[in-house]
Amino acid sequence: MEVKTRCMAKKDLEDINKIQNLRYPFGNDLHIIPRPYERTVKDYEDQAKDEHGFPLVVEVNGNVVGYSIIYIWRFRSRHIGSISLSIDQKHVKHAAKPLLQAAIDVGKRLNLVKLFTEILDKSDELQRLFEDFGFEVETRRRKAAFFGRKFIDCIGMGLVLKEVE
Amino acid sequence: MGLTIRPMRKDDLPALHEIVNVPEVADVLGPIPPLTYEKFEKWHGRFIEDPKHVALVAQVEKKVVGLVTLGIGEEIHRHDSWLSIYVHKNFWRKGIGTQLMKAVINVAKDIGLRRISLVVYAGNDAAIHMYKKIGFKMEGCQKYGIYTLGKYMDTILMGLLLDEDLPKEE
Repeated sequence: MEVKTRCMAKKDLEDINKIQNLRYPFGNDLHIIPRPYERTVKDYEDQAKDEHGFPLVVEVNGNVVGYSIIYIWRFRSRHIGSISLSIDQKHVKHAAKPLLQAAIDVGKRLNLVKLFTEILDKSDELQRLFEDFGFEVETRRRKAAFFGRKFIDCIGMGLVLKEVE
Repeated sequence: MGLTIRPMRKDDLPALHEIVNVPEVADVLGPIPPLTYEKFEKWHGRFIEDPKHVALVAQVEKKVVGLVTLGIGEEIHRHDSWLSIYVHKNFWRKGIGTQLMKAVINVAKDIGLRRISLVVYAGNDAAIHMYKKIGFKMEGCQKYGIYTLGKYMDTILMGLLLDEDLPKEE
């Protein structure tokens, strides 16, 4: 089995849209479905032009099964990047760790001080994935998401890439 | 002091641009002066161009002295909003921030939002005290959340659930 991560490209957008339209993908880039293909294209075009966004995909045997976006915050928080990701549940076992590792590597190459992510409460497997890479829970935004017909807390997790004074 | 709170208009932008370039305001708000008018306009333009967002200005006599905005969330966060607020430093400690907060909370209720989120740097005790008094609850601390006043500082995340946290009216 060949697993590879690389920069997202226009040719990936149909596959990305399919992942975005899964009812329960593995990850924290969650959308209201059905999500039109045009929205996926618009998001990609916005990111492609924006120097703050770094989108990646993960391939298993040549098929795109997941993606991640690293987004650098602005102004006086520009030393922080947020990570979102989404993977087809069928490929989590092989694709999740390489994708998150690739996203963290982007953060290091950007010389960021910290990475931050926000996941839905009770997403135990996803939380474990981030914890395995050193992320720690920092915040809990109460009822900040509406998903699966209910309000759910959002858990913020941070990974300090380098200690600063 | 004749205080008026009203929706922001495009012709308010020059006065607001002047306020955010005051170093003491920028230190607590986040932008890094000098912020060009073009960048400022891009930053604030969405509040004028997209009617789903909320922006209210505070005006004393004929002078615009402050702004509060709510950026409305998207997708699974569309009932939530992110609050930003600033007041000209010459008008600090006159209750204008509190009045702006009360006004924007009323708008948030009117348009059916469920939540308001905000971030404030640890150590900005006056702001934290004001938010708590209004009903905001602390929801965590982000290590190294901001670089300001010459050092990395933690930021405090605060949230207000509009149907749970507001003090009961007598």
